[in-house]
Amino acid sequence: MKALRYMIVANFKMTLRNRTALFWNLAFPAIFIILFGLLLTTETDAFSVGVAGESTTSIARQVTSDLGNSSAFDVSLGSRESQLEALNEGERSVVVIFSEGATAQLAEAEVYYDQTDPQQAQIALSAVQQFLNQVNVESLGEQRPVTVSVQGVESQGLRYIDYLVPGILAMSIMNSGMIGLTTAFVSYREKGILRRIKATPFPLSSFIFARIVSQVVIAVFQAMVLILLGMLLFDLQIDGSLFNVVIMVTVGSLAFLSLGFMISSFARNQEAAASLGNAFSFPMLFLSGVFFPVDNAPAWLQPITKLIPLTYLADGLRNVMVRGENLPAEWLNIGVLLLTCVIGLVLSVRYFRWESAPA
Amino acid sequence: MDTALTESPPAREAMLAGSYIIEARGLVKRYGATTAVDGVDVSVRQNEIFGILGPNGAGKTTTLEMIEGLRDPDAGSIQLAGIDALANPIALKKSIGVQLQSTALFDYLTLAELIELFAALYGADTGPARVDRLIGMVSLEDKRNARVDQLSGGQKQRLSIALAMVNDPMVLFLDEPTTGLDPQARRNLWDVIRDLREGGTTIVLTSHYMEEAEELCDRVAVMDYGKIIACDTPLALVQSLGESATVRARIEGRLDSNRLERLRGATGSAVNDGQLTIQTVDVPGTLADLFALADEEGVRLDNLTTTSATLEDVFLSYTGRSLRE
Repeated sequence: MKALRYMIVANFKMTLRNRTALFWNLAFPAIFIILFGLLLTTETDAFSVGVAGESTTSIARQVTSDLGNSSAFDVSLGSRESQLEALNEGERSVVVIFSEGATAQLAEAEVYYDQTDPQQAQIALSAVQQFLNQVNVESLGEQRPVTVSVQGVESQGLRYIDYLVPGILAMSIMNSGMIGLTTAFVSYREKGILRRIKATPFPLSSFIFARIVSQVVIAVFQAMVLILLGMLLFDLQIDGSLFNVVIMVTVGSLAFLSLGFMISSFARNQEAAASLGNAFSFPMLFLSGVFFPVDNAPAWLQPITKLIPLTYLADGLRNVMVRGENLPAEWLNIGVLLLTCVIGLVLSVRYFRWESAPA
Repeated sequence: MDTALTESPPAREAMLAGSYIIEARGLVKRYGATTAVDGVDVSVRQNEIFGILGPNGAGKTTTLEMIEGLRDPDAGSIQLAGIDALANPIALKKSIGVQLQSTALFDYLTLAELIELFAALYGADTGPARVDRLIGMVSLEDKRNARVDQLSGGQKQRLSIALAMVNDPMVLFLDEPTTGLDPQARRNLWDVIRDLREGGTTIVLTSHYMEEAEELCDRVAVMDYGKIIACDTPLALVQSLGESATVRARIEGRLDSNRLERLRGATGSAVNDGQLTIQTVDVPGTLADLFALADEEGVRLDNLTTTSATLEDVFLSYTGRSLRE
């Protein structure tokens, strides 16, 4: 027990004194959050909304002028054709085209959005939609004055920063497992530190256990720091319980640590470990919806995103952090991550090597 | 003088068994088609410094690592301080201290922290008094709070000896402890090793430096191609060659070869172009007689040197090859 405690404390000291590890664990994800947060906050300050047919009905006229008065929208008027062309060229986030309804008091609105920029479009759409709904709610008439037709778009109502922070958290948990742990472990093997441990009565299982405990604690600490950063700088909203977040971070950390152990069992040297780690983690990063939703990715890609453990961690973290889901509702995400952990550990133990090459 | 222990008759072996702290019998280790260690017997006495000497690739490290419990032998048995090492590796590891050939250790920890950590891994006392004692044992007091990467090669080796001593082991294994060190650092390390022996530890080390084995070891096993080819005290090994030294001098004039042959201890002599060479087993006797003879004949002796035979010569005579090849 004492041995385990000393080993865990030593791991903490080594991580905290290792500037490279600190950078990848804290500074790197923090930079991501700040950069993306700043870039997307300025863009979302005012959505460029194109409006056509604003003079078809009085309602349309009123809505258009209200849109223009709102600081969230930057309204440009024009013909249907010119607005759609502007959308095509990426100059508009959303285009709203009004047309006459059944009576002069009613209006129909077609909303177009740019599918190539789904993130931006979803936010803009949801903002416009909220706005139009507001108009409907305020008019107490029996019929809704504006009928909105937007199909196939289901905005989550998430702001980008709320979407991004859990994703970045998932990314850094993956990196510290699949790259941090992997290169550290392979270097222990290359330098003969593993053999030196083997020469002591301290069992390998305890050595690995100590490493896992310290990495998980560091991951939780890292999560808290990044969440705090998001709250302070970008007004990140946390709806879920902190306990659920800690559990999700722990489960995710276990999954990626075990994948890291697995890679370190296969990699011959540090360079190979880093390449293998990157080869696995890089595609995951882009197919798992860390930075942007993959719901809008091509259909053939969808099954692949479902094969990636990072998808389940990013989704799970997002659900417990900003959607306030409880843990039983997350059984699928938690289950997949635990399964990943078990598979990774079984393979690591099967292929574990004490030394780089047989002497 | 000891006879080669590897070839002791069973009766003598049984008689001495009690005094051996390590008895390894018939160790074999194969890697594919290569046999790295081919039926090696090692018997180490309580509190001696025992050296395994041989060229790179002779199987020294593999032999050591099998005794340390780091490699499983393909055949053989190992008893260490009454422990069946192969059946009870944990008990073995608790009784021994190990320094591996590579000196790398965890980065980012100070010496004191590393020693505490390793003491904890052995379930030993981690108190500051004990940490200081271990640091003092290898004279690294001024580096107590330095990190490993701030140490010189010699200091790293001394640190790894301190780490090997955290559990007060009965036997300390050192794998090529002085390889890559400068002569000063090497001598410092020899002093540390001698002090540890004075403290009651039995020490087993490997080396490919014959002078190290001669200087430090009570007994030496000479190893080549996975076999032990001789095992005895360094002096006995050298003396087994018969010619223990060579005396050389330049002479002006002539000395009677019959009288040279009769110098005390001389076993052979030659004069070529004024260069005198005498093989002897009694250097002082030969020199005294040589001075008397030269004086009597009025012959001047210049550039007089005597060279002792070394373990290098022993290795050469057993294998026909040089240790450094």
